[in-house]
Amino acid sequence: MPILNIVNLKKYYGKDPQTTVKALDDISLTVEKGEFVAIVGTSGSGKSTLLHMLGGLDRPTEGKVTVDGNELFAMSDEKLTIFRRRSVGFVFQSYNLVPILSVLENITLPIELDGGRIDRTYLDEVIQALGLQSKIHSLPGSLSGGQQQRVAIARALATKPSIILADEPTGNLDSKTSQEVLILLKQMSEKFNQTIVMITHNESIAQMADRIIRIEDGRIVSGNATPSGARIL
Amino acid sequence: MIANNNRKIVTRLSLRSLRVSPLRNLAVISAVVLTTLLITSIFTMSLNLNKSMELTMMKSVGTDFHGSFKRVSPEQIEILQQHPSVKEYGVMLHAGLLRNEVFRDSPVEVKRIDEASARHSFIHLIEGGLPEAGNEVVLSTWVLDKFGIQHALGERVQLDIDITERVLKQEFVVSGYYEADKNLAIAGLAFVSDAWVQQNISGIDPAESEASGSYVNTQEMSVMFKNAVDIEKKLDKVLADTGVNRPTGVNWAYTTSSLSDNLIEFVPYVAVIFIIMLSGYLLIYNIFYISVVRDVKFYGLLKAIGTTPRQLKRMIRIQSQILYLIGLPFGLAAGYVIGRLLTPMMNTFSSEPMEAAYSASPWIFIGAALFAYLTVWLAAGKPGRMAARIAPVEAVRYTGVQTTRRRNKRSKRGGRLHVMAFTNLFRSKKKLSLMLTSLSLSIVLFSIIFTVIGSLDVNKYLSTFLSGDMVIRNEKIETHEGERPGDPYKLSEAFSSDLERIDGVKSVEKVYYYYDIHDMDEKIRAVLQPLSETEPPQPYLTSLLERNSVYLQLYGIDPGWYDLVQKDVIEGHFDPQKFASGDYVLVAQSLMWEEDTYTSYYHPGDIMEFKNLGKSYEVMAVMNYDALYAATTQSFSTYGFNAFFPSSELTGELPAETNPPWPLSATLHIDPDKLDSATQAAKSLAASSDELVVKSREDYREELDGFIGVFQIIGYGLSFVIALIGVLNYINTVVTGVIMRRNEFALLESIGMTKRQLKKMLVYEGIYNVLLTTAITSTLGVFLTYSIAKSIAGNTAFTVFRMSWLPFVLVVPVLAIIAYTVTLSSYRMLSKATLIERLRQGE
Amino acid sequence: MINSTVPHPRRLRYLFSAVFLLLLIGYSGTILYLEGFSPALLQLTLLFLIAVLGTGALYNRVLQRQLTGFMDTVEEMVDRAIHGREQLTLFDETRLSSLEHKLLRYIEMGKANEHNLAAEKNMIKELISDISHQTKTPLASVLLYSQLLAETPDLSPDTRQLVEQIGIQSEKLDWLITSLIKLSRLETGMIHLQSEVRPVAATITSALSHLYTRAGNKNIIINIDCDPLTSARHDYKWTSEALFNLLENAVKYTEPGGSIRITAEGNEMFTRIEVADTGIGIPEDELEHIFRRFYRGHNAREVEGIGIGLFLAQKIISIQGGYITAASQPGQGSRLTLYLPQL
Repeated sequence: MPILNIVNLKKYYGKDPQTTVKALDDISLTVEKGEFVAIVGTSGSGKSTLLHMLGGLDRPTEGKVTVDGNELFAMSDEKLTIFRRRSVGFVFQSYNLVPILSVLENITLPIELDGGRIDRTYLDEVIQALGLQSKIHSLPGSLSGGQQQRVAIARALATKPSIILADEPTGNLDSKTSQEVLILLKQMSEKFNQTIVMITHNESIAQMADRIIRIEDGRIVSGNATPSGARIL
Repeated sequence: MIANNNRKIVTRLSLRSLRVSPLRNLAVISAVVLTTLLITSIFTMSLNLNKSMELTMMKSVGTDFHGSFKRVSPEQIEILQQHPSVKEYGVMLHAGLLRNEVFRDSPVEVKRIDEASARHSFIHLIEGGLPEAGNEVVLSTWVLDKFGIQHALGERVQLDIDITERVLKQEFVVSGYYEADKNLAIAGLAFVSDAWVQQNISGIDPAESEASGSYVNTQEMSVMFKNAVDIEKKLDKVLADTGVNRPTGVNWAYTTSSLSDNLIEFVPYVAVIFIIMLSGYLLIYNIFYISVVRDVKFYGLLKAIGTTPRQLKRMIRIQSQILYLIGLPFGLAAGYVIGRLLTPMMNTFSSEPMEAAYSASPWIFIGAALFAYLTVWLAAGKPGRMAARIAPVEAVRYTGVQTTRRRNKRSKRGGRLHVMAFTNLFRSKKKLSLMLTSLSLSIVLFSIIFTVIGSLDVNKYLSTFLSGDMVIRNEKIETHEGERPGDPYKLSEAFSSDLERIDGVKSVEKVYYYYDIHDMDEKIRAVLQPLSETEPPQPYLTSLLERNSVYLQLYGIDPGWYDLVQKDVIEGHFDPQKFASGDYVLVAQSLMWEEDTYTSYYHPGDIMEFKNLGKSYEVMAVMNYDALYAATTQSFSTYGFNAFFPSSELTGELPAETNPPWPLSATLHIDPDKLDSATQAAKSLAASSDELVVKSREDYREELDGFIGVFQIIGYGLSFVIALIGVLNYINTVVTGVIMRRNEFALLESIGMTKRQLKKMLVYEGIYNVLLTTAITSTLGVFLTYSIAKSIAGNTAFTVFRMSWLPFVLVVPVLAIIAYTVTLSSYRMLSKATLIERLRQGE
Repeated sequence: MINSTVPHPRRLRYLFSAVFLLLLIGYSGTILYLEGFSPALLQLTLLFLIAVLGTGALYNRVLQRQLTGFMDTVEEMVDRAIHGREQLTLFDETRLSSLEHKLLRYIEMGKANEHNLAAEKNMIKELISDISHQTKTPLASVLLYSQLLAETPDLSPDTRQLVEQIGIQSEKLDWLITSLIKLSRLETGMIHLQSEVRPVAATITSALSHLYTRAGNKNIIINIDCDPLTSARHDYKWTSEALFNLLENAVKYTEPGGSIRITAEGNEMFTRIEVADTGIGIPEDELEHIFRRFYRGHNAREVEGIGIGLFLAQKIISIQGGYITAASQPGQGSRLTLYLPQL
């Protein structure tokens, strides 16, 4: 069952044909439920732009993005935001955390925005697993880059969303921690049947994925546009 | 169904956001305080004014009782007071009139009153209490003065009380006395005890005395209802319910002093409030706008995580409400205090002298709070909507590629900073014109007010009261109600010659006065008769028509006054030589009953017959009703008018029955070198007579300075506020502009422009702005200021138009400095990391 | 709806109603007392009371309706989610929408688990196939070589015995593995039984055919009492194997000279096939355990066997909707009865 369906996605900047920047140049892609897809590409290739489109952060110039049967850009701003809140977990490359909230408040932010109950047991598990117990009342300003990244990951897992979109989530982490975080992500995603789309330039991490998609100049250059069979444990 | 309970998180985000921007909070709170303060003070002042007017009215009437039942018997009083709508009542018994010689021309009524009546008649005893024994009496201070008695208890006074059938002469003891304004009430009052009434007039039948018109021993019962609405109806209802049938009276102070009658009076208030709200709105809007623009990344991130547009809007709204609540009490309190302090000054503007009364109505605060809230609500609305519409991708965008390219101007000379600056200016024509307009407007307004205030001229003002350097007036003539003892002829020929002989006195110009009971002729009738037929009938007019006369004031003026005639002429033309011949009269307009209505019965060329002068004159010109103000008694008779003749006409031959005119005043024109000595001499000459009062320019000037001072404070204050608002808006616009363009700046920096060059370009832009503004203000602005200020100054009695160049000169340097500093500091603020990045380390 | 931190809702309602009534009556009473009991006032007060109470009751009704309406909506939402129908709400800022989303997520995760389990099952099936394939060849080789070894001339009696043992144990192993594979196939549902209504006589005969020799060797008489028309719904091949296991046991555990009687009879719902022997019997306390995997009775220890036969047989029969019962008298014999569905 495809959870993500991208059809002819284009993102162009600028009106003048000579100076137009084609961030995404006609991309079509399908991702199955529960898949772990890695997106690789050189910088400026458009991978971040693609990820943003998947989460409805930015509007395309052309094209459709359908997530779990919902056409993203046909939804109103209000509904799109609520969709993101409930169904998507974001990990950005930088500037992930709301500076005026503590670590714990940051992690529970999407839950609280939805007025939902906080599953303390589950959250404690995640916080423990990411090694953040001692920092939960600190402000983001007092954390290192790596710690902030981990908090972002905790937040992305907090609502057990259907999709996790991560842009270089292990960029600030050392290799050992990177491995651990990835394993945690994979475990969680299997348990809760989550789909992961992750941008990375780290080959070993990309290998952990079910599928690797390579993007260059706004186009997919390798990696199937459609998934290759069921996942093998 | 069932809304999400996510209020807590939105509130938490709002509160935390507040905590990190103390400066912005302070700015908003200040704006709120300022707005609230201004609105509250306006409300306070207007309500105080209203109350003062009411109070003054009531003091004229003599009481603040709502209404009264006239000539009621004790039994009727008993019945009436039981009526449920009568909340309070007082009973006054008319005992008679004082016939003492001193009161020949100013009537004093003798009454017996109770405590309630005293209270409601503004009789506050300075010492003592109401009379109880048969020989006790309560008098007012001016009555005591007339008797020449000290203001003390126990003083003995002989009163001749006329009870119609006879005059009772009895010695009384002052049991109490109170302060009263002789001129405000129509008749003076003296109070005797019930014991005296029982002893002397209880035998008189009230019905008889009513029929005869003396009203001795009749009682009047005044009542207070729950409120002053429909007093007449209430009185009638009481009569109907109780079956009593007696005439009623309504306190006209209540019906004539409501503000709602003249809605036009409201317009300036509404305009001022609107301006205040507008400036408050602009300030607060700009502050929030900047705040949102600065924190775009923050809001973008919130949206990316799942904060809906509605929630973001609520964040801004909550912040604005909290800041409003913090600033509100200060604004209300300060505004009320200022309003109270300024009220006395406002009172001096009204034509009648008013006592200041203060209102502490909660509506002041409720109203001001509501208006202030409305301002804040509106001001935070748009920034809230802006925050709501921020694209979540802003969170991840750092410097970002320019998403909307505007028309790229390619010019060969491009790259030179000042040219870039110039082009930048015209990028958004709308924004540019808006800013220029608001700034120029502020400057123009400022200069107009400044000019007008600067044109305040004491001398001109003085010239309405005083044409020469000093004036000696015979006070006796001035007043009509109750007279001062004295000789109306004090300013005799002999006296004038003495004055002339004083060293330094150049000339003595006299004015003669005659109070003329003039028969109505067809011309006068033609105007008055139709007036009397309109509803409601005006009693005074009716009585005049019955008596077929109007009251005129005739003035004989010395040639020295002729120069001042022309400026007051409305119809016709003044020819001094012809006038001096004595066949002509100058007629002023008549004051009608309705305020500010003047008509002239006559027109140039008409012939008027003055029986009491034994001659007819041709009307040479018609003048303003208050023409030659300085020469007149400064009072005007309704339906009558002033008429001016050469002095010779009044001092010359007159019919036998006519009393000689009174010399009203002598105006001295003094050689400036001998001013002091001459003034001294004149003063000592006049000191010997009680009736003569000397006033020099200096005396008037002192009186005036206070008055002008008030004007200046308000005027300069207002212009300062306006200028401040204009400047603040300008600052806001500049800062906003800089912040909005930060992406552009980053781009420019990335393609090679150094920070120094960027700063220079911005400074150029600022300078161009200033130049453009100066261009507008120095042309259009000067023109507007000149024409508007001139017309204002020309029309007011005490201004001489003086163009003030100061504002225009100041504009350039002040604006330039502001532009320079603000531009640079906002740029510096940009380069320093934004709020968000400041809180982030180690990235 | 009862939460320990929230006071009992009904009691709360009563409390509020009481306070409300008290206030109304108190106020009306006071007013009447103060202003005098004029008829106009009395009427007005009465009217007022009625109006307020009426409005209150109406409001209450409306609230109740709203509440039930809400619960109905929730129920519908759950139904839709369970049956995979279209969502009721779509990303609304309401608690209902939040709840629905949670529910759907949960159901989705459940489905995924199912999916995973299915995948795992498949894996196991393939494993079984692999095992059976892989072990076949080596085992066959072992059997072959032991036979060959047995046929070698000039073997000392001791060696011959050893070789015999190897052969016996290899056969045992072979049978064990085969049975286990059969078992796992049955348990994982890899085997599809084709049940059809047919006469049981052929099935019985087929099962017996493999045993005649052995029975004959032990001089055991086999009697069959079966109406050719007696039929049952069963898979011919597998039921035959199950019967075979039963019969094999009977043969194994009956002394030479004994007899085995097979009876087949059709009833209302089931067809009975009884296998009665005159064997060593099963003690009472062991009767309930005989169908367990690898179970071997105490008495049976001396006889060869692994203990899977009955287990397998029961599996086969129960898959077809039937069951097996056992009765026995130690020393006299056992009677195992197969029940198969008629239709």
